[in-house]
Amino acid sequence: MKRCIDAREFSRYIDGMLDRKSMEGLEAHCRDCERCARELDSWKKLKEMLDGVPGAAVPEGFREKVMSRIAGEKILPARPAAGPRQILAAAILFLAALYSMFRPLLRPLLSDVLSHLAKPLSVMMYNFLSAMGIDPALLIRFLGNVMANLQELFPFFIAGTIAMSAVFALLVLGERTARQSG
Amino acid sequence: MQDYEIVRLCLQGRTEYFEKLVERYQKLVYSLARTSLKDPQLAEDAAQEAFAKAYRHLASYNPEYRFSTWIARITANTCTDFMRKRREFCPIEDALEVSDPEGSPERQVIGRETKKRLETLIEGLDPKYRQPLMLYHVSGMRYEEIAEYLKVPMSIVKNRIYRARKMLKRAMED
Repeated sequence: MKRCIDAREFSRYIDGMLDRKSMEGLEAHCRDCERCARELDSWKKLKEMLDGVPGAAVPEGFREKVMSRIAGEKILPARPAAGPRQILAAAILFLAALYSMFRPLLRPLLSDVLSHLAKPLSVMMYNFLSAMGIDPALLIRFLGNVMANLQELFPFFIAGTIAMSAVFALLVLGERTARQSG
Repeated sequence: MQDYEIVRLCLQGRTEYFEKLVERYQKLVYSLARTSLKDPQLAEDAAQEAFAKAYRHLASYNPEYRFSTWIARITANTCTDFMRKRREFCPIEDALEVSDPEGSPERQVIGRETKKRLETLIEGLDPKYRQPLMLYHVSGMRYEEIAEYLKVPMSIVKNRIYRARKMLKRAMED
């Protein structure tokens, strides 16, 4: 006689998930083996009991009630999925929030990172200007003047920021209009 | 007719076809609501609300996923909203104790005491085993649907249902 049936096999059998060959093999084995026949019987009974657990009897007239309830409803237009711009905006907001929360910790770290990054750049710039025959001290003096006259340059910064925001808003609106018409 | 075809017809304005979806999934939706909410009337309201929500957001349904898991998710969220409003949580035995006055012949065969014992044993199961078991036997969901609904691999669903049954079987035989 073949080896006895595994409990998992019985569980699959009662779900009707065995292929035809395995199912016939199981049934044939149970005809010869009393122990497995009893086991199969108890698995079948368990399924019967579980299927008989109440709680799923749908109230009478349920379907009609649902249909009369939705009679006055309208199907809403599909919600657009978040585009790359929304994801980028959300990421920027998240990072800004994170920075404001951990500012005391992050500030020295960030300034360290920036100064490490700026060092090779300033060396490159110095070498570049020297190679072009320009005195790097001139540029340093120019930047110093800019910093000293920052208050006078402030309206230009504001105008630049407004112009950039307007361009960004136009781009977003343009994309939305294109999506709606498409 | 496939679910996505019915959805497409509804979106084309033939909203009477939505009834077919209600007919197909009313047992699933109601049983999910019934196992989450204590009051049968509240469960019926939640089930109706779930269908109404599904109808309103039909255009957002993605046919790449099964309609059953989509509506099951809507039902679960609706029940959570109802529970939040009522602050009324339901122990599983209350949901199971509802007796079917008519009852199918196979249900009548099961002895009252055995039934009660099984209900107590189910209630005593770890929720991670009880939930897929109930979804399979009471809500009539298939393994793939349960896996999609619970967001776990199908092998886990199969294993948990098998282990739940084994635990129940052993306890019933004791």
